[in-house]
Amino acid sequence: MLRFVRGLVVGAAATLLISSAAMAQQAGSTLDTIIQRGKIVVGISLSTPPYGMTDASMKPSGFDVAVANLIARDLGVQLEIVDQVSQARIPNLTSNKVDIVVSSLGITAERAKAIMYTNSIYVDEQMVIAPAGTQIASLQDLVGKRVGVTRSTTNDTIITEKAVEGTNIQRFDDDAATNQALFSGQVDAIVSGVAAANAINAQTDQFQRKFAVRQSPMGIGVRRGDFDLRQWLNTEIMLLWNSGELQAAQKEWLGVVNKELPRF
Amino acid sequence: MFQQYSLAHVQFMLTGLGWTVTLALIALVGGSIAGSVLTLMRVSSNAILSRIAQFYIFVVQGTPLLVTLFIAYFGASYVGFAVQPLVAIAVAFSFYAAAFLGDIWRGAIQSVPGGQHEGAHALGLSRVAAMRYIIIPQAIRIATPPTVGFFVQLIKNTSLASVVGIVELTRTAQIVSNATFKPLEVYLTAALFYFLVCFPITLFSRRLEKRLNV
Repeated sequence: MLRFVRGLVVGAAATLLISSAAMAQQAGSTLDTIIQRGKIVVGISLSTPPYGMTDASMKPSGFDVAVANLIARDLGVQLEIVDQVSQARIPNLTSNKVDIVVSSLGITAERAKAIMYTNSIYVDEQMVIAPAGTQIASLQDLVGKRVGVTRSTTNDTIITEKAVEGTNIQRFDDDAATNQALFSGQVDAIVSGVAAANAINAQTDQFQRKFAVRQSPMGIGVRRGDFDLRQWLNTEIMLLWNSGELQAAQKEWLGVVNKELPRF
Repeated sequence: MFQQYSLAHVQFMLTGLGWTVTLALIALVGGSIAGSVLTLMRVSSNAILSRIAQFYIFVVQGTPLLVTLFIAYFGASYVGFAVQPLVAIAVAFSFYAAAFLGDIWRGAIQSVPGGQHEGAHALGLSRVAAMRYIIIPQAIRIATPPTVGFFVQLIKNTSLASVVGIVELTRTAQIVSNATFKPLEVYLTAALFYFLVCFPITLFSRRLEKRLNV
């Protein structure tokens, strides 16, 4: 219950902040600020493996961290990572707490009202995962079932939007809790990304992917109106793609390499 | 990629515990100072001061701490103040704690029997001296259990600080749990750490009560 209230409150506060996001736009260019300061401040959720996590020596690692490192390297500045809970990703950006957000940030029309996205750095696929023995092949089959999902993620958005009436959606605070709910039978199925599915399969073969719900492209978030910075990042993403470094990071952390990335 | 739950993780959670203790100290000190001011306003014979304090207590007690924290951290940025996370926490927790402590302490002071006031007056003590030597020592004994109970609650509430980017105990547990996929073991460790911080305080409160009873 407390969790629920907390989620609700964070959601409400975030909405409030998003609506006032336009006020928070800086006068100068963030790109200039970053170069003058000699440091880029990047918001990353460190509790979302394999995007943001900690390695065995408790240093930040993962796909988002790898991308942030490449960006800092090519800007010629130091990297400062700010850990953030997933609900704080957009408020952190719009209130100038961070310069950019590289935090498994799925691109949605709703979020794009509050922040700007760069071109995509990875395209995830959201899928339904359930015990191997169950017969689940479509959204219709989820009616009357308990479906777990991590709150404030695009997984949550998509299942909330697409679920057939009668589906019982249960939201958890992070991927570990969502997966644990599946392992312990508290939910009948979960909606998750490819990487999380791989993580489950690495531990047990009791669960399998049932069907894909949707593709979810992820981008880097910048403040609205920060065209300078967005343009530099788009250039950087193109260069990293051409040099193969972006694909290498995808392969290393996500176990999948996209054939192409949407540009817009 | 996914790690075994190990000593390194526990050490990482210990750094989180360090933050939790730091935040708790900030909240306790800030809350006590602000709470004292509010208590004095509340028991003051000046009706306006008393009303202001009462209104403040109404508003803050009726607002979740998380929202106060959001306003202090993100909200302040929107109106042009660049607030450091620790400052936002110090402000939000002090404001929050003050509202509760102000009421707890007022209740304690007012529950000292009226005869004590009259007795002090009969002995020729001034109002301030009566407070200082007669009323407050008795009020402290009454106030100790609820104050300690609230402090313990406040320590556990510091877990909300992860919203403003502080990697405290609960957040380290979240991070470790996500890296190891062992939520039960990880959160039990975190629970033990919280207990180790809170239990001595409860114990101290018992002792204090006994000593003040004599």
